[in-house]
Amino acid sequence: MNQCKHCALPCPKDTEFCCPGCSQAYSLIHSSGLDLFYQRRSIQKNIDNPKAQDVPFFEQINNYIQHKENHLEIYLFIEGMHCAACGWVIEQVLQKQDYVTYARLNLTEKRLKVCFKETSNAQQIIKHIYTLGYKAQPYNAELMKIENETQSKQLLKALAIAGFGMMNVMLLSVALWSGAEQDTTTASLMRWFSALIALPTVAYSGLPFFRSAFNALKAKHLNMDVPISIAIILTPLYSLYLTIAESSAETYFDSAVALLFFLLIGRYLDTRMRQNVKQNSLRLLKLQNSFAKVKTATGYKMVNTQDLVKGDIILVTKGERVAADSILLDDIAELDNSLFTGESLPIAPKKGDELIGGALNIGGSFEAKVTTAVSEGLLQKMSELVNEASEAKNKLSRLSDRVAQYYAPVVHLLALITFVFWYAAADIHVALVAAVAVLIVTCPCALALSVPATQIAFTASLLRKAILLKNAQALENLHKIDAIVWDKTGTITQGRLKLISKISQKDLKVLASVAQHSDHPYAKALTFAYKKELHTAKHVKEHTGLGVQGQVEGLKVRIGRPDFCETTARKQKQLYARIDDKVLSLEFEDEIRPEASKAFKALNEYEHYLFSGDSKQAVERFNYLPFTEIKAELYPQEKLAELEKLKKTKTVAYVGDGINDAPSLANADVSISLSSGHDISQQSADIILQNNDLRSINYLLVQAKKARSVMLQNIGISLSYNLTAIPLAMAHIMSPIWAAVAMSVSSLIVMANALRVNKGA
Amino acid sequence: MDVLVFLIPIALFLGLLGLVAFLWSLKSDQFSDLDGEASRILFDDDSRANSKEKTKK
Repeated sequence: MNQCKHCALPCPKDTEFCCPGCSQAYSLIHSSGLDLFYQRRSIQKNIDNPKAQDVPFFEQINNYIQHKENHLEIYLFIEGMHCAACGWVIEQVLQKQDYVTYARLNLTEKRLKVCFKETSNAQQIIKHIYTLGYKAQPYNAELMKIENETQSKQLLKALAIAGFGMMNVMLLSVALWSGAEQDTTTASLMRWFSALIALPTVAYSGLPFFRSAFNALKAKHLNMDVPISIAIILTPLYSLYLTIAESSAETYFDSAVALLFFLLIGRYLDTRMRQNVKQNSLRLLKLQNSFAKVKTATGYKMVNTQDLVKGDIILVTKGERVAADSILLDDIAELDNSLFTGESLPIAPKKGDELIGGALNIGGSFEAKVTTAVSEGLLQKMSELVNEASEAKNKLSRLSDRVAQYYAPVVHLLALITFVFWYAAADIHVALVAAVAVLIVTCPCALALSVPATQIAFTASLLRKAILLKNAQALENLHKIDAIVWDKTGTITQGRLKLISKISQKDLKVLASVAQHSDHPYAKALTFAYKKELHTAKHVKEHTGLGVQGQVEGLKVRIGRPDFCETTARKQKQLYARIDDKVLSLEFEDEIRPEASKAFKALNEYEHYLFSGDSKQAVERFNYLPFTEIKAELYPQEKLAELEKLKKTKTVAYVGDGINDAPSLANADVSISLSSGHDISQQSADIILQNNDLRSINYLLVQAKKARSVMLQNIGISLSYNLTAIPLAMAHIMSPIWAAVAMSVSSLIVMANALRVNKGA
Repeated sequence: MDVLVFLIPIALFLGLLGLVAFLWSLKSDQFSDLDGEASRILFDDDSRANSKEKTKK
């Protein structure tokens, strides 16, 4: 049967296309001279009948079913979706099945919830999804917990209630301000209504702050939430007292609720951002490695990697990761260790060599004997290092908390002094009013807003350049940075091989024509090196672990290991090729990011260091970049140790992308990862460059300095307001209405000032 | 000004209605998938119509 020239599906006899659509698409591509498309694309085969072995967790799927009262439920993570229609078709196909009672896909999280009737249906469901051309993985429990989003939902609820309260109290306040006050009955009515709205609002919406303040007090230290809590509790209570006493003094229900509302916005955005990042990184911690094929007497059994024990023999097929630290049993294997060591070139361990759990198999299948259980493996140790390092970092308190540490006790002391003074000089009523007035006047609204407002403006200015600030506290270190440590593979380089041997275009064309049929990194680099149209290669055969052979224009071509190319070349080159009788040696290197030198030029005021896990010889070629020191062949622990040494004298930013950088990223004063980097490194980093452009680092540092100065100004503004108002309140002379006006004005100034960070960015 | 005694509670009640509606929508997970709902509305044959067909069969 004929194959459609465009889509490769079977088509009617004597025709080249299966349908007019394909014919038109082909003629457009053909007439534009882009026939190369058909050689370069990869069409998924056997898509219409996925087999059980294509689905890595097929046998285990039943473990993920949740049993509900009258149905079963499963959550799946869907890969390969492009748009809403993909989601639609998955939902519809599943819903058409008799045993499916409910199917709903969350497009934001790519999470599919399916309810069905019998346990055996689960495998059916997975099959349907694969048949449609998507991939599905069960969601693990840890992920589910986060996805419940209880925290951000609660904040949103608190925010909605605070917003409602603020609008209504404001409405009444505006009426009071604009003259309703003159009629005491009306004024009193409105105050009672304000109290009715404000008190429950504060009680509910203030909970996040009260909780945090309570926890801080329990741990015997002060954070910013303590003065905030005191202010948002005392302000309405004092106002309530005034209302009951029918005093004509100004009440502050509006300012308490408004402050709460604005603070909640900041907190909500902060939580959301942090959650998004966490979700993204966790989602990527795929289940891919969760199962290993363990050899048994009768064949292979799928086993959860956590259950692997020493001595188990595992089969690692092409494209899989080695499940645990182990020893190679087969003669030969080819692994990509770059995530772990940062080495850019594939390694070829021999029989008896140790393999690191997590290495990617790019050669043929092999068997290996497990030496260490996953829970004690190197990868696990790494993640412990990461945890330790990030915990140590979190101990450094936030700037605003540090300010609060001094501010709160002083304020409370002043209130006490005022109380004692007026109690002695006048009576208890004056003392009480004056003391509460001091507390209100010192209400740290502007102070509380100064830091988050700047952080939000800073984050927004970064987002516009596709820089994701994951940890807002990084802002507190960014301005101090004087040294930058770089990782090599994937950071300065693109983590992609490029042919550097000089061979003729003619030979290259022949080699690339054969290489295009292989997925091996070398073969891909070879195909990529030739930019024009390729020949059609015949009789192509790939020998796993050896090389690939084929015939092009009558020439016999072999690419691969020296013995495969029948050469006795002594000097070890990375790859050999043989075209009929001519032997060529090929060398590759990891390509440097094109913008790297420009980025370094912009960053010339900083000291640069290069820490690489790669060989000395591989890092030598970076001498031309302005590095103060270059270190090679560092293991992750050693990178961390070097970094700690450097940190003693300098404030260090670390830029890295691999798993091997994760401990250092977690430990550095500021850590930057690239979105092309590994998820674990992104998880450990404070900042992620979504555009993978090293030049953004300069922008980041410039913006950080700007934000820092704005933040300090803001703290200055708010403190100076408080400092002038306090003596007046203590002296019992500040009229409450002026206190309220000054309070709002200072908050507004702080907000407006924060927006400057965004300006001219 | 006596009318305020009625007007303010009415205003509050209306505002409260909106708040309740928002809290309900939050509770029923309408804010958990902002991308999906935006495009789902564009598909004519939504899932409910389909499940009805199925029960008819």
